[in-house]
Amino acid sequence: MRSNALRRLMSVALALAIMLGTFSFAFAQGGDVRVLRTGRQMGPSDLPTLDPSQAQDVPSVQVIDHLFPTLGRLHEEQVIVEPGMATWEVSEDGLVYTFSILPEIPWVHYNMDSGQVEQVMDENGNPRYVTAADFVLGYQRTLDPRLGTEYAGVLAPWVAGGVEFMTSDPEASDEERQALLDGLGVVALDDYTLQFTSTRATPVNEMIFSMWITAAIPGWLLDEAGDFWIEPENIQTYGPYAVKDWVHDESLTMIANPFWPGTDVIPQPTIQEVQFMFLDLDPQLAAFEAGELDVSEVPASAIDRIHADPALSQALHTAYGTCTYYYGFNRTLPLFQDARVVRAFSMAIDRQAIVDNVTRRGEIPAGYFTLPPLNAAPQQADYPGTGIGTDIDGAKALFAEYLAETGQNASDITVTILHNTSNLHASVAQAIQQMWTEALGVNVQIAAQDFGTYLDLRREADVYRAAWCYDYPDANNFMYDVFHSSNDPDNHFNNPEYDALVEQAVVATDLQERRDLYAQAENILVNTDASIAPIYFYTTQDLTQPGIERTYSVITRERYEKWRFTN
Amino acid sequence: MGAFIVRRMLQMLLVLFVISLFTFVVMRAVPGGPFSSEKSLPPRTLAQLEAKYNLDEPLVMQYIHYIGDIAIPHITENRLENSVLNDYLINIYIPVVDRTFRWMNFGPSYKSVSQTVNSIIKDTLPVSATLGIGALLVALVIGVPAGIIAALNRNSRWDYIAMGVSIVGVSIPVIVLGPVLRYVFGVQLKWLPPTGWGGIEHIIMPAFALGFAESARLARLTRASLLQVLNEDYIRTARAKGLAERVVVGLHALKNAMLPVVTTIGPLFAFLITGSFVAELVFGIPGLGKFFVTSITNRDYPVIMGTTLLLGFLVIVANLIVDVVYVWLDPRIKYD
Repeated sequence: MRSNALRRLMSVALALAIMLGTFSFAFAQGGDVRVLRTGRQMGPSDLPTLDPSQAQDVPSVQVIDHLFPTLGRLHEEQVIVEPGMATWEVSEDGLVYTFSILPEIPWVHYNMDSGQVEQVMDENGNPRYVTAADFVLGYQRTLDPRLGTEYAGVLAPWVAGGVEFMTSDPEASDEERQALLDGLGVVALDDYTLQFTSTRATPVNEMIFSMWITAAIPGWLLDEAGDFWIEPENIQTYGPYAVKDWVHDESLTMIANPFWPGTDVIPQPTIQEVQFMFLDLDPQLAAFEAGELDVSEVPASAIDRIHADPALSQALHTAYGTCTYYYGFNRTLPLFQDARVVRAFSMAIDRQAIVDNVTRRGEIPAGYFTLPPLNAAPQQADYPGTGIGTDIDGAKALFAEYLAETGQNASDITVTILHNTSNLHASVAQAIQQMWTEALGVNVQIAAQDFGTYLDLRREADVYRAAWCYDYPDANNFMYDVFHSSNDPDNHFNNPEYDALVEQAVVATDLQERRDLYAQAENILVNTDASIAPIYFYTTQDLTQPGIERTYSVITRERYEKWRFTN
Repeated sequence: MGAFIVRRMLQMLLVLFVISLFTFVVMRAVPGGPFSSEKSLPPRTLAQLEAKYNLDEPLVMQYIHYIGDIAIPHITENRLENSVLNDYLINIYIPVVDRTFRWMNFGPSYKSVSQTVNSIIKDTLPVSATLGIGALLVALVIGVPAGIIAALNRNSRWDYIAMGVSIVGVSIPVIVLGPVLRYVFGVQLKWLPPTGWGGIEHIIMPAFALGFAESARLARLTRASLLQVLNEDYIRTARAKGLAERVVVGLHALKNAMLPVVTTIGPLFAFLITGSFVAELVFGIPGLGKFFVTSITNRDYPVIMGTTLLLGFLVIVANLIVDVVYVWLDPRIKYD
């Protein structure tokens, strides 16, 4: 009996040893290339996609920026558009852009067997270069009603014929479809010349052809690999980096593309491999402290410890994020039909206290809706007396005036704040609940719903928490795209004067003039006809290991081709 | 026994059908949808997306389609369009007719555009299962001996230590134990990698974090059960026969005392190998567990259905195995 048990034990031990051996073997494989590991702006879940037309989230776009550069390239620190895959000339009337695309940039694919980035060849054995036609396909695909992309609606209004194509019948006949495609203002004049016709003469056009959704697309690969063209065994790209590996749910590794010639704007990368790790904030910090991550985000719970630690506080950097946190008010409610009430509620919010005590990530109190680093964004300090600010006494006086006029008691008034479930939103809502109760004497209730339910309920809510994150970094994407009356009806905001100002601002060519117009529009939105209470501007915070020279993006997406190891 | 297993398999199909129906109804009763976002989609685009995934049909038809894609085998061309809509779990080439037999298409993920439920489970279940088996080993290796020691040395110092530790274990959830382990062994001592997946060194901490609480539960159960069995008449008989105490406990008592333990291990095993949302987030593990949660917030309907059915299937199978093991443990149990 004993020997039997012993034998059994031995065999279990042997099995374990084999398991162990296989695992450690699998793990021990790996080269000696120094890899930059980053968790920045990746989150704990898998990347939804690498398809430029279908991407709609920061993590996907962060990676796509390196694989599929667009015609124009956003400078990540200065928020200006520079030549990316092309240089361009604009016609007299400002509507037609003619692009000269960089010649002979090859499509590439990382070959897992050879361990090399290789050029993609066509059926005749010639290298495939990125052509104007590939970019045309990119535009067409994003707008294609058959694909149904989330960002079609962002692109369509800027491209001549864009809205017509996007809203056409997906089942349309081939002839009808071809007619719509022919009417689209994106045309390949020859292999390396592309003509883009906009619907409006505006500086914002540059932002549009710098968006990831306008990148070149390998049509032959779509035919061949279908939905799976973005998987690492299939994907073909042309930017400074190529896809080396994508372990779903764990990480994506980019490898420098030796065929990328390097330009002044998009240099050849010096860091050979960048690995994006999909980790939650706390695990990121732990991996960073263990030396396994080069760039980490910062959990709010660790911020005091980081400030107190000399090495970590050195490594910390705070930059603008892409969103503005605000509270929207239901202007159809009798209470909020009077803009004074919304203004009073907004003034009663102590924004500094919220960013100092609740959110604690270096957020910036907001008196305007538009994020300050954006192109044409007005800075509140330049326009004294506009926007909104915290003023508890002013709020009390204003609300008292309203109550007296309408003969109401504050204690009879109850408002409910709706937010999507999150500890952060809950804490902010509780802080605001207390501020409103103390300053205005009203009853405040809080309702939390998960995101899908929250979106459905938002239109009916008294007050709802919201955030707007821009698609392209121009004030137009805040002011026109969100609050122009032709947009989201959930906003309950309809002001002809505001509409006129933001319509004027988008086509104004002078930058200062645009800022002036947006400042006036801001003042209507948050003050004279107050509909929202801007609360704070989001920030991103990260930690970088010593020995890395880097740029600091204010558009959330980093340009890793510009980073380098210094030791 | 054979007839019993067949009968249980048939029952399983019925249970899975009820689970799928119930999940489908509850999931679709919740407001919001897979394509709702802060940016409202143009109506045509939304209609197109809904048509692509059959979401434009009446709910009953959607359900019938869904079940049909899983249950009804298809004989198709050998080469299908490369689409997430065409991913079958079972593909068998039939040479005679030069066509392919395909079965069990659990649908695409709405959130990850190049992924399907089948591919997600294929990628993540092995990870979760490896970790789950590790956690179960931890639970068994610590829990059962601790329970035995406590029972045999009832009301002694060893009993108090074992039960004290198990109270602590039951009380500390993974969300606390995980970060503590990660900080101590990953960040401070640097003995183990704090996050990631790939080697045996990545399994140790999360397996311990997950297994420790379960080991505590098993220890308490083993102790209680063994104490009860030790008072049974047949144990007294065995002792009276003059059997060595080692044989009395090891052979006669322990085998019978394991019945309730095995009963818990079955479902526990199913839950452990389908992953843990918390442990996966804390240790950055690419497992299946987080899909149980994120698929719901994303309204990723096929993933919600797929993960729920998988868990249901595993729980049923684990219970079936438990029932079979009963027969071996306790000869008095008969099914036929």
